[in-house]
Amino acid sequence: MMEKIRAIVEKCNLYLGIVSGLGILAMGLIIAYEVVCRYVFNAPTIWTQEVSIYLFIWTMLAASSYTLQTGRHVRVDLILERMRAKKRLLAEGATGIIGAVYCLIVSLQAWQMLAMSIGYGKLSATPLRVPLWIPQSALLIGFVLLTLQFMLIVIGRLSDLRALGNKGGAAR
Amino acid sequence: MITFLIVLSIILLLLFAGLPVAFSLGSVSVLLLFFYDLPLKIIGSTVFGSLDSFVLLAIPLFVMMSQVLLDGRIGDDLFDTVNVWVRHLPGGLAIATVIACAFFAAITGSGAASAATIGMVAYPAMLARGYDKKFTLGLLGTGGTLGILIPPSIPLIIYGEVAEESVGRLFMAGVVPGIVLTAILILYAAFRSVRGGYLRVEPASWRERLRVTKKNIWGIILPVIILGGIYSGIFTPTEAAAAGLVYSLFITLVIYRTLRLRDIPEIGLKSVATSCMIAMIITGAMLFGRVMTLLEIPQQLTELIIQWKLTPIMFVIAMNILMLLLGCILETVSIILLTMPLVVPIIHTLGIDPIWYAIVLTVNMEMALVTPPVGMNLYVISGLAPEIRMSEVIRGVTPFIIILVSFLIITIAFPAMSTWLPSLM
Repeated sequence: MMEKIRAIVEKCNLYLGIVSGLGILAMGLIIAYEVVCRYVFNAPTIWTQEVSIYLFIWTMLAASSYTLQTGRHVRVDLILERMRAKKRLLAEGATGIIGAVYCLIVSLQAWQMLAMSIGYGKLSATPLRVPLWIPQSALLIGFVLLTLQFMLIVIGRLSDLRALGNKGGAAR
Repeated sequence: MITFLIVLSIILLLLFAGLPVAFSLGSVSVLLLFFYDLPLKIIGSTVFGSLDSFVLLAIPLFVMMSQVLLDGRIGDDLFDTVNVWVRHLPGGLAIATVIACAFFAAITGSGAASAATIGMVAYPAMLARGYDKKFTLGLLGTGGTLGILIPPSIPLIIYGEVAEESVGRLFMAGVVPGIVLTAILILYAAFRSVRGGYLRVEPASWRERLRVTKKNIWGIILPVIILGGIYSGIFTPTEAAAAGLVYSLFITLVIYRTLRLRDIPEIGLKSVATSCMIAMIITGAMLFGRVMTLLEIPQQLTELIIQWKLTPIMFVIAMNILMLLLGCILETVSIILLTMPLVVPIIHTLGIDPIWYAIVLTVNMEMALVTPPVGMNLYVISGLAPEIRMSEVIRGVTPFIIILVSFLIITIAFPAMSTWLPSLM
């Protein structure tokens, strides 16, 4: 059961990572298009800057749990590397819980912000008048996935810890 | 003040326990919001707002461009081209390595990308020509750090965003110091090669020089497009990054055919992890900065510094010592974002030129890339080949750290070196 959930979340992370990578490419193409329009056709666009910022927000938040899953969020592992296996697992489990709680709180706040934007029908203060929930929902989705990924890390460390305990008992 | 010290110790505790920097900063901020009963609803707007920026968008674009050039082996072309021009000089291959690093630094914004791209081709080439292994490793690690000083530069983009300075002007401020440091590294490389031994190489004929240069011209003009475009005002830094990305894809996919379309998703995935790591630290740091401001901690620190009658230069020196220490355990983006929210108000109160300070900070961060135990370029260089040991890399960069410290002192002593070019814009 646990493994199934893990597999689903990790697959989801990977696909979001790939899509986000292509999203960066799309940002590059959109902005380059604007430069061409401005200099070659002398017709600057009104939508490129705003749309590319929304893409940026979406790609960065959507790929965050993939980045966590692959261990690419920068951390100080100086002391961790020098710890015994058991202490290390405990430390990683504890920081995982803190990370999960933080991401959960951000998710809840993102949800409130989103509910406000939808409720009042808030639009962006730009010529495009984009409904604000479109970029803002990236915050909710990104941090919900981060919360899940942190929880998976905690569960993973706990089961490693139990396996370690059994092995230690058997050796004795 | 007590609050600040407690906050600092909680952050350090979380960092050393292994919670990623982005989430350490974020969770401390949330804890403070609860503790001081401040409105939680600033979380959503601050975290979201921290990414709502056209300037920051340049970061993933520059990261992806570097990845395209790395996987498309454009670094090899740059190195080959520089090599045919300088290889007959004393220590020619070492000189070619430094110049190729500087060239690539004018395309990419990251120190690790420069070290990896040029290192892949220069390391085997230098070793085959009898250059000392440790010297080669140190030269590559340090040459790579030019990546953040010579524009474009990811640390300077972040500095511009946090300190509300023009990124274009910050980029131009890095040009002269970048050239001076390149020259110093060239001189040192020649000196060490002559003393340490190397195999002399025949000069290339003019015909070969022109042939190689012509073949690789597409990659060589990339810095001209990016820096020329920003300096002349044709591009904003973000647009330069987008144009550079599209151009790099064009030359690797169409002209040199070193990449195929099906390589693109993989390149995207590699770029997304690097840029997302930076973006998430930004969200955490902006939240942290916001909470610090609500608690009026920057003001308290500024008052303290005025009470202590610290002169601007004493403050700059103290900050550099602090960042040198942080540089041993943290990577560059984290250090900048950890300190900037507190430092910016102090810079303004003391009347320190923010452009000059940005370059001093960047030179200091170059050291952070190579100071053990945690230095991004140390990892990159030791990953170039399986037989490279970390201890060899660390011993290799040690003399270069002394060079970088001396250069940092020069940068502090001569502000005009950094401020002259942007003042012409």
